[in-house]
Amino acid sequence: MSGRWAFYVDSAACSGCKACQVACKDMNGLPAGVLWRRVAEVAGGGWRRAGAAWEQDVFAYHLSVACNHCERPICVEVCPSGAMAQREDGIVLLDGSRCLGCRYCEWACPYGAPQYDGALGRMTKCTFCAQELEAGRPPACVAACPMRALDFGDQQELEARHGPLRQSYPLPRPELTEPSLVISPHRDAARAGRGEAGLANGEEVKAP
Amino acid sequence: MRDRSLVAFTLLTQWGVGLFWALLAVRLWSARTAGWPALESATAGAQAAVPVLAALGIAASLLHLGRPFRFWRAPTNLGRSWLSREVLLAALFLGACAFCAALALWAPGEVFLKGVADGAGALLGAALLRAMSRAYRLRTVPAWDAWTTPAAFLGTALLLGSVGAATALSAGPRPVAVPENAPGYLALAALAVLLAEQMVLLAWTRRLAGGPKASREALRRIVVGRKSWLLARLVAGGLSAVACAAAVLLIRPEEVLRLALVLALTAELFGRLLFYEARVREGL
Repeated sequence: MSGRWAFYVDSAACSGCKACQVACKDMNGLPAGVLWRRVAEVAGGGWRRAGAAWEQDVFAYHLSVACNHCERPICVEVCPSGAMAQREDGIVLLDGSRCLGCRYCEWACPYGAPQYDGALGRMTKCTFCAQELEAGRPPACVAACPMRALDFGDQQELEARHGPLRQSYPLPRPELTEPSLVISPHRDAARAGRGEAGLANGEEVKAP
Repeated sequence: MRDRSLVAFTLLTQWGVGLFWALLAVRLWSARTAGWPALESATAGAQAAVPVLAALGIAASLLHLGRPFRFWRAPTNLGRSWLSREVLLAALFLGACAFCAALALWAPGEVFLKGVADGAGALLGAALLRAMSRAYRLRTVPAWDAWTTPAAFLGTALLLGSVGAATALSAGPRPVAVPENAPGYLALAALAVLLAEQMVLLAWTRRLAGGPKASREALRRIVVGRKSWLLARLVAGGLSAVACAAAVLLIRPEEVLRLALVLALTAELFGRLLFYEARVREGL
């Protein structure tokens, strides 16, 4: 037991239905444009000449991404007002009353987790559904996933069950922030990591 | 709007720090031949410009906040956040340079007190530049996380400070206390900084070209997406260097120095816009 909560994402099982994204918005009453959980659509490959014929090797997969409540949370490091704080169980929470809306955490986070709410004039972010955990229920995104592609649990237990991988395209190098995340990658994730793919919905999932 | 307010903040405060340093250097250098109170009176007008620049910069920075009236919370995470330290140091620098300007204007004879205040202001300016550089050296933004960021900020301060001081000291009848060749030496310093800045820009682009995907995307944004800004940066910088060189050679360089200042400001403005354009994060 590490005592740290973590998310598990099975990218091979994810169908890209975005039920997690919708459940998160519903649970937290998020306005249009604010997505605490997003589903990246990765697409790559193309047509290649093989002798006299043409063959295709296209591929696509999805990766559901939210705040990874990192072990080295850069949002907590950079926040000038101390609005970002990490609990002992690893959950990074934002105190909205302290936030100035400078959006510095948005610049820094490589997962685009802190999201700016223009109506409130401040940042918002995933809470790991801390109130649901306290009530003995799973986070809304995990509960909503019809493919069981999302799970949550203790970081070490998830790693023991699924392996230690914490990175898959289009996520950043894990050593930047040490995310509390375990991934089962799609079989074509390695090709995507070599630059053979791109984000099909970058305008939806990439932070400004 | 958000980036523009930060462009204004960084440029104006760095200009203020550089002007403070340049005017202090001129006074220290001239102190052998002129009395300190006379030097204070002679440069008081220019010294008064420093807190104005810093105050304008700080005011501009408030425009990027979603909740500007909570600005006072910014320096409350000094233990961890370089941005928090930057905000505190900007406020302290503003206070120090305003105090220095007030002494120069109304109490030029307070030599000891002014010396202490000048020293504190110079150190606070240096600390502000360091905090500012560290705030931008985010490990998740490879285009910024390099030695070129502090070098660029220092270059801006030294260039605008030296050209600004040279322009201020050469405008109108020259005070007797200030040596006649001071604007020329400042223009020479500015010329050297301009040449060094071109080297830094070259090193930055080479670094971006050889860096990770986010670096290469930043380079593409600058060279392809904003090539007109890059061209404006290079042309204005080059012309400013020519004007500074002319100012070194001319006996009455006032008009040329004014032109050099406008061109240097233009070059720095486009350079800073390019800096913000290069903000490409690793990951999502």
